[in-house]
Amino acid sequence: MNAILKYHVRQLFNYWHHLKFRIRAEIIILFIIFYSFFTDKLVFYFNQILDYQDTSLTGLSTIVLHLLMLIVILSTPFIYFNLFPRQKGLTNLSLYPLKKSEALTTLMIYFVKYQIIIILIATPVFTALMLSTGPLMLLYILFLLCSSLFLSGLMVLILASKYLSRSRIFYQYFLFFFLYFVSFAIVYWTTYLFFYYTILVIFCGWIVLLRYWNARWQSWDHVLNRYRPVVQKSTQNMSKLTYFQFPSAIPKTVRPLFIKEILSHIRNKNYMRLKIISLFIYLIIMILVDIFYHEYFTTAISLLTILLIWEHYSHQFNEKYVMKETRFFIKVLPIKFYQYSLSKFFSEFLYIALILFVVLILTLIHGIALFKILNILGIITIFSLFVLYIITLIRIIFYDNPRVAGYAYHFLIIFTVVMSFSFYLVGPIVTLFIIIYLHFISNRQFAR
Amino acid sequence: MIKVSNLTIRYPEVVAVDNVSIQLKEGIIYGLVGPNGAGKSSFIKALVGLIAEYDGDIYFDEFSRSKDRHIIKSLFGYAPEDPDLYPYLTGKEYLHMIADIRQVDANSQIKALQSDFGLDNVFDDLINRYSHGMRQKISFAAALIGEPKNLILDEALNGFDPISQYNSKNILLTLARNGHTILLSSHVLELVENWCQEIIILNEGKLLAEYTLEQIEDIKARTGKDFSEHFVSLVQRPSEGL
Ligand SMILES: Nc1ncnc2c1ncn2[C@@H]1O[C@H](COP(=O)(O)OP(=O)(O)OP(=O)(O)O)[C@@H](O)[C@H]1O
Ligand SMILES: [Mg+2]
Repeated sequence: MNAILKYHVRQLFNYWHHLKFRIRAEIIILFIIFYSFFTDKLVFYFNQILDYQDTSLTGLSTIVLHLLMLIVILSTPFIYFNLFPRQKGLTNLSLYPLKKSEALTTLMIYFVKYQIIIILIATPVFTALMLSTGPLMLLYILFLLCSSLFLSGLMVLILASKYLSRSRIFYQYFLFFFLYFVSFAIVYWTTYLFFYYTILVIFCGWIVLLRYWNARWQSWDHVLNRYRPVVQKSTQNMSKLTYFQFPSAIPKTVRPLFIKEILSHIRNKNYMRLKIISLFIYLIIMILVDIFYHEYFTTAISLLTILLIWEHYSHQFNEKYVMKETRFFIKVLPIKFYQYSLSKFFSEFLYIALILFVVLILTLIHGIALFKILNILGIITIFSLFVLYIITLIRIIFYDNPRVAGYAYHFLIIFTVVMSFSFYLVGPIVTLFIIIYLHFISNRQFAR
Repeated sequence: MIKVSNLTIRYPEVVAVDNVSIQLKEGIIYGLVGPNGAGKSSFIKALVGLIAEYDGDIYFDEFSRSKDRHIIKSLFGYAPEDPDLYPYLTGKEYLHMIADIRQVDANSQIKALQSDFGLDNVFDDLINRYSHGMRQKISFAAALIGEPKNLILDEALNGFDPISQYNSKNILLTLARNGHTILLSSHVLELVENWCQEIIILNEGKLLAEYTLEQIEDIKARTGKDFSEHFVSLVQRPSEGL
């Protein structure tokens, strides 16, 4: 068997067995709840769409599948340029003389690894589609898998060409998948035999890929060295602010941690850029909404702000923006839960206050009743406090593994939001208990 | 044999390696020393291909690093200064993986390394649980798998206990005798003096000096200083070099 595949499977297996029984049980139970709950909801929606809105089965499946594929396509360049070069396992493997098949497996494994969250979301969608449309769906799923493999394969090949610049690669990549979709669409529209022809297209695609792969596979690791991040020294003179210049309004026990948070944010260019850009995009969208969908403004502003906050704080789990805490920090230093959470809270609340201010201005310009404005601000504040709280919990619990922490964060947010509106009172109560439980666990992480 | 000519490596704000030319011959253990930030790791990373953008040429035998990257991969073993191993493999599994990738039958070699490095008790534990020294041993052992023609070790022997150090020295000496090229960076001058036949001194990215053991003996006799004293004065006042 392919050595790379063998030992990566082995690694997963070892990982699962090294977990405590309690944790394994928790993961399985949570997964089952998540899975059955979402499948159930989705089946309901799909049936509704099929029954009332005169949508054909193929239409529905195609829409869903293409939506998922679009996610894969859009995330691929990001994965290749930003995540792959940081992946130490890949860097390590790039030093060895891999065979052709091994190089391909390596890339695919790490590719799937980064799509895992999409796969996790996709499984209930697939199951639901299958339940509401019948077993033909299996073929569609197969189709999706082939297509996304095809597209990621494409990316691998384009990247393997050494002498292209990043923009050229981008351009080529999107050109390729544009062509792919055009040919796909032509085939789809000219025949009603959707399926067989698609498979034919994919098959031809694979042959082309294989040819390219044969010519270029030896430079599969090129992107790793090209785009491995270097640490810029200029961050040092980024901020004139120093440790000693902070006003002392914040409680004494929290102050040093607060300053640590603030300085590491302000001195990280990427983080500041992210904050500014996301706020900017949000503003543009809101203005567009106000111009073109004037009547939906109130709903849109609450929803979009919540989405912004959710999305924005997910970057707390990306090491480009926020470094993970060291073991020493959590386990050795005498830090207490309230100190850590308050410092996070104070340092992040500045941004939320800014968002609230923007929302206030926007709603005032739009002209909504004051009562409604307060309502919207209240909802956003509660949600952001909740997000900050969850972040603190998750960051403490998974302090040494930001990626897992990120997944847990998204999971918890979706879970609590959905559960809070489901099963009458049972949903919120279950959520509350889970959060209390998490609070308890994270409290115990610190050295005492 | 490794041939480096006019190698220059730039990071955004510093020149880490500045126009270094050097030839590493077969059958010799080279020691690479220099203060922190001298550019040792950068030099080594360019050799093994972890730094892609540099000026100058690097040749392994007749193969050029820029053109024959893939061929060169089977010509060297590399142990980094901060090994990143797969935490959820056992030490044994990791070494077997490397052997499988290199397509060599290394069962007996892995057994020998296991006893040389005193890994018997932990060989079937997850790397996750290893101490720093154990990780370095596994990383060093991985570099030795299949006995590649060139060995490039970046402070790889730092955390070793005396027995493993003794055994590693024997392994390296045997390899050198069989015509392998070995480059070893270290901060422990004594170790370098004892193990290596030639010593390369880097400072602020520049090649300060390249001594054979005889030259070192000569310096000792001439100045009455031992090698570490000489090293200090050399780094602080470069003009005193050869
Ligand atoms: N990824 C990087 N980004 C920016 N600068 C770097 C990077 N890696 C190293 N440098 C800089 O390059 C110079 C040489 O570093 P290098 O790691 O090669 O030194 P070294 O001799 O190995 O030091 P040590 O003995 O501490 O291991 C240093 O000035 C360092 O700051
Ligand atoms: Mg170094």
